[in-house]
Amino acid sequence: MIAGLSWFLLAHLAAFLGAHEITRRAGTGRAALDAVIFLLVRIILISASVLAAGLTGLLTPAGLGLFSAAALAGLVALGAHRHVRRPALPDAGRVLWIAAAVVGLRLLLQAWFFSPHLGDALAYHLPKIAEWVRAGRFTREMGLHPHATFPAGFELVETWWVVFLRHDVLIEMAGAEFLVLAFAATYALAKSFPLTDRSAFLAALLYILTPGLHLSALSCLNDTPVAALVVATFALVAGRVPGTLVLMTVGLGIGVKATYAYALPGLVVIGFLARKDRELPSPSRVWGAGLALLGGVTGGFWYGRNLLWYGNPVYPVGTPGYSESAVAVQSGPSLRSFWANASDLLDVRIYDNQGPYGANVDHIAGWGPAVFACGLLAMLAVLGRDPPFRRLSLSFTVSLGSCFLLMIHDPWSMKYVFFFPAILCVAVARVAEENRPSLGLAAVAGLFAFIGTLLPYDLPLRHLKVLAAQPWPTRTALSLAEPSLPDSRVGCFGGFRAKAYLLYGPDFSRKVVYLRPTSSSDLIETLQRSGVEHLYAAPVTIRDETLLGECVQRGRLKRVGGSFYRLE
Amino acid sequence: MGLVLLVLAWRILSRPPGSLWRDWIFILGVYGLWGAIASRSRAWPQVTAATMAFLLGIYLHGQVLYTLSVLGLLP
Repeated sequence: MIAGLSWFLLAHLAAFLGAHEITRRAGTGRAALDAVIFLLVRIILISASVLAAGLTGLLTPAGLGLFSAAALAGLVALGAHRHVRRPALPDAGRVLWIAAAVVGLRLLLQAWFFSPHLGDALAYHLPKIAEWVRAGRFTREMGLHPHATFPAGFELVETWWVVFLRHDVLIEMAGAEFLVLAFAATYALAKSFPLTDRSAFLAALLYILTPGLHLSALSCLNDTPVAALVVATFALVAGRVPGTLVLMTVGLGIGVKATYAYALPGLVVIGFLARKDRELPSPSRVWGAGLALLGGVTGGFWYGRNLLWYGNPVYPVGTPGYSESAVAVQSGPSLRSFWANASDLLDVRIYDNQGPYGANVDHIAGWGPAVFACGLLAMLAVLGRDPPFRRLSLSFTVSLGSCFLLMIHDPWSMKYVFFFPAILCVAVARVAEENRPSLGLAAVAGLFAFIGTLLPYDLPLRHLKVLAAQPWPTRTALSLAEPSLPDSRVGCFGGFRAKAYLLYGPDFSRKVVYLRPTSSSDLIETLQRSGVEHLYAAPVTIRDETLLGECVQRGRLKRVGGSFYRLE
Repeated sequence: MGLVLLVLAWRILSRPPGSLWRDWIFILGVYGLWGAIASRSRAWPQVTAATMAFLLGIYLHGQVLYTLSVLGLLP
């Protein structure tokens, strides 16, 4: 653990210094935008490092740590450390700084005490990380969920937070750092109007307290990273940052999730509307081109890999039978989806009165009280008198519309448009500059959002108490629903409901054998061949249930509690 | 003004009359209508804040029990 911690610190230092040095060379000279660029460059350096390590078999504490140490030595030799200065902090006032400190401190505590618990993350996003960490490289095996092959840009950052310690206690920090990006991007966006430091800070703080966005960041889902990257891209384009840096961000976004691309039409619109504004000085061509290339490679990698492995860059979308599966995403635009999403948002979900807050915002929008009570009205008030705000609002709305056109309408669809509240929070801050009573209301709404984002509904207080009572090395959400599992190997059978990630344990010490049997006999034979005594089963289809039932009826499997069965 | 009236007409025709008082689009429409008629009024900040407070009340009425339940403050 000490060695892992040392590599962890070295690697983080290298990422910080590398991002700082590149931002110094490629930045714009505008503090608010350079903060966004710094965070983006840091993320892309981390992503590229994990990608390279995963491909070369160096995805180990020492492998990635030695690489980081070498990078750090190179940076120090170049004198990069001599340029590190205390950043000029925004003049946001004592109250807002204290509020931000409280939110930040709580974020750290949440990241520490929360443990991966959300079904989507456990079944779809995280099993691949566990396989990678165990193997020390990328693996073909990524779990049973049909979407395991989707782009995994966010998983690269999550891997960075777990690989050195070989433990997932800090995995939520990956989401937290995208929340920091969301803050910086909203601040930069607000400053471009220009709003005062204080107002821009208020807008950024309100935005990261957006319930869906905040809770998603702590639930190992990639929707907050996508939203943060969309807002960051808006900030860069509206701020007339050179195109290479925008391309870097687009690459990063597309590599996290294809839904990022759904918002691109709005970015094209703001790029067009802002074309006559003065462009900021370009970084050197080499740095600009390098960053754009890095963005393209890290983002395009997943699509290229899928093309190579499956002959389809967006596999399994478009494959026979896929559209009938329970988790199918929409392929291509649909006016019916547009209408269903738009009318559902405007008439129902925006009230957030159909259920509690959570990362998947089930049946609600998760936009929170500040946006609903203050943001919508503020937008109306600001639209009429502020042309820069008008064109940015139009662009955000185009992005919202294009997302509605391209995303399936289901109970969770509003998580794909977490970026939109950013512009509404900017409007709140704009109105609050002149209207003291509305500032008070925004503060009350922000306070309620703070309380509402303490816990997601799928990790209520009684569950958090169980997690917090566990020592951190063994902290796992498996104990919330399943009996303890003594074996070092376990079989996993089922589909998208199989919470496979929990089987690995928080230190990735357990081997998980994924089973894709063709018959009940095949299931038993595979278990025997793999030396596995216990099976975790979460059947989804009737075929899977029948197959499992046959094994139990024949006396080959005996249920031992929860979703676990023992081979007899 | 024309657009605001159109929005108000849309909501009046498409929503049950009893629910209009808590329809955010209708409320914003009324606010917009007042803004168009009395844009030079000195009561503008107060009306804006009062409308926001009303919307906040509607929002909290729908969400607060869920939140208290998640936090273990309600059974």
